[in-house]
Amino acid sequence: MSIRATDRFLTAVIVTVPAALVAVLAGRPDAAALVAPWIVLLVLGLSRRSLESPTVSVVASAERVVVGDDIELTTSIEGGSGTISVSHQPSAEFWRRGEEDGPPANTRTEGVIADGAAELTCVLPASEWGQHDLGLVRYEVTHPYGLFRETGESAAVANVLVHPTPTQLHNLLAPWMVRRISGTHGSKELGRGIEYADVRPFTSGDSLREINWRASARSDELWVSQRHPDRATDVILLVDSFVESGHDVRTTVGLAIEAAVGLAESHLAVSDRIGLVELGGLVRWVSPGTGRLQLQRLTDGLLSTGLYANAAQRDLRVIPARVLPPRSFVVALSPLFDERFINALFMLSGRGHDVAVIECATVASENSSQDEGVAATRLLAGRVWEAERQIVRDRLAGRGVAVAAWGPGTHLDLVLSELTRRRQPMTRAGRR
Amino acid sequence: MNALTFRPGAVQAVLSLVAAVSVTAAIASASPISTEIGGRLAVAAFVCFILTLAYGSARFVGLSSIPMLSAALAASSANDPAWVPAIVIGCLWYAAVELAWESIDRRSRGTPSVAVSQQRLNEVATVATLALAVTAAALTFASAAPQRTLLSQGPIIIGLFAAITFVARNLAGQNKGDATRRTRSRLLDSSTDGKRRSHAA
Repeated sequence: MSIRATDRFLTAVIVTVPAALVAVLAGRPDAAALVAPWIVLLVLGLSRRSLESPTVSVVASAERVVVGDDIELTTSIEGGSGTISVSHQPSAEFWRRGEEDGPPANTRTEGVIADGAAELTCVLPASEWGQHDLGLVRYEVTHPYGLFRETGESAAVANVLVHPTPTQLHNLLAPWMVRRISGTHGSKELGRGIEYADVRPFTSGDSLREINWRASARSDELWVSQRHPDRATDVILLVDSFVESGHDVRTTVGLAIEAAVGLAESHLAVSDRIGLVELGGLVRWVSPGTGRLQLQRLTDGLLSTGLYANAAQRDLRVIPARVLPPRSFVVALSPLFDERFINALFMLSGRGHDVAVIECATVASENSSQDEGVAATRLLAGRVWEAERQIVRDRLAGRGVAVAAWGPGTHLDLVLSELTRRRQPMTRAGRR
Repeated sequence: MNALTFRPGAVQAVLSLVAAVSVTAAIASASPISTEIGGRLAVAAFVCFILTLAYGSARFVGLSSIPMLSAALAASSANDPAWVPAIVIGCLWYAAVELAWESIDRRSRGTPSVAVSQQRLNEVATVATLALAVTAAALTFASAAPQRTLLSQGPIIIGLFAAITFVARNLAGQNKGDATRRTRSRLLDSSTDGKRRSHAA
């Protein structure tokens, strides 16, 4: 903390001292009368100056919020006197918004220190998902009558987690393989369930409730209905966090995380086990689990996704077997730019996993150039780029991995429907 | 009027200019013996005041007090100093400078809260009121002892020395306090827990 004299003090001293000397030495009492307010200001300011520096503490209202919520920072000041001004400076990513938004909101608050205490409240809008550092708190205390000013810094509350807006999904991806635990996904097995499968002759041990009376009435023996039981499955979310220069990394990873959170919430609600694998500069994972606690673990893992440029060869061999259980349904969220991630998808498909890809791609910017040559070049480059993307999709489809593209402005439900539609021919072709 | 209302510090700037114009006019219309020097100096000081206010330099706005108060002194008679016009001009000029500072502050930092504005207004009013009261008391004292005797000069000299000593001691104490606070701050920062709640001293 530093204390400095203000311009008010400088002016008062420069005006008062010569006038006082003139008043005394030249016998001009009117000179003292001219500067009487400045003399009084000096006396009052120096006598009321606080020798005790204030203690500043900052508390956030919540450690976890959802995008669109407000974070209330309460600054408590103890000691000192005068007026205090507090400004909060969160990290730049906390304020990142779309182009249509205006500048960040004013984070400066001020108040009067009465009886040695004051409390100020600042509301910060959480507009960007992720794990954010609320940054430093800078405060400035102006002593009574404004002759001196103290400035200082206080580290704010460490981090706040801003969850993405929950996405309500009405469609779920149907896995090809399920576990032997009751759930909501239809299986090919025969047993107790809701979906009708077949009829067979009654045998001893069958329940009387299973008798199909309509079929039995047409024959001389009893027939029972067979049904497909509903099973749960393991869903592993595979998030691509490789950094590729030249594309909007923040948007593509943001799409991936938004989709992952929506899928995790929806599948956990139907008793599926959800796990997470982040493949990129760092390889991190969350073992599959169920329940609200698992959702929190997944969200924490997703929100702390870091973007690290890494040239090392990272693949799935470092991941323990319990994180990628056999017969699990792997949903990959990736822009499909990095060859290492694409190779990982081939590896998973080769191991026998059921794999589907949601291609989180940003929409190419409109060709707004007025130069015909530049516009034509951009158009050609866009077509070549799209052709390269289609080659990657075809390669994956050839290995039984369906791909559906998702961009900003499209609801995830539509993407899931498209992905389900593309997976059906693969099922009929007998790849699974 | 709408532009003045919505621009931060515009009202304060206008009031400050009105007060400064009043002071300049009062000085210019002073005794005819010294009007030429006093009036010209007052006008020059007023121009400096406007320019520095428009530029937004709080320091030079305050320093423009030197030529303005010098002009006021030059405009009054040395043989027959007038207390009442002096204190009125002094308080008006003080108000003009405070309003100018408030205008500059609002331009750079935005409009302060109601509590802070009220606090500042109270402080300025207290200073002006006390200045008038102290000057009235001094005028009463001077009328009782009109001669420049030791009785009238002595308390003033003693008071002046006491004030200078008080200021010097406060500044010395402030420097020592800064060093102590820096040491305490270094010791406290090394042991501060910044996970959930943070403090600074």
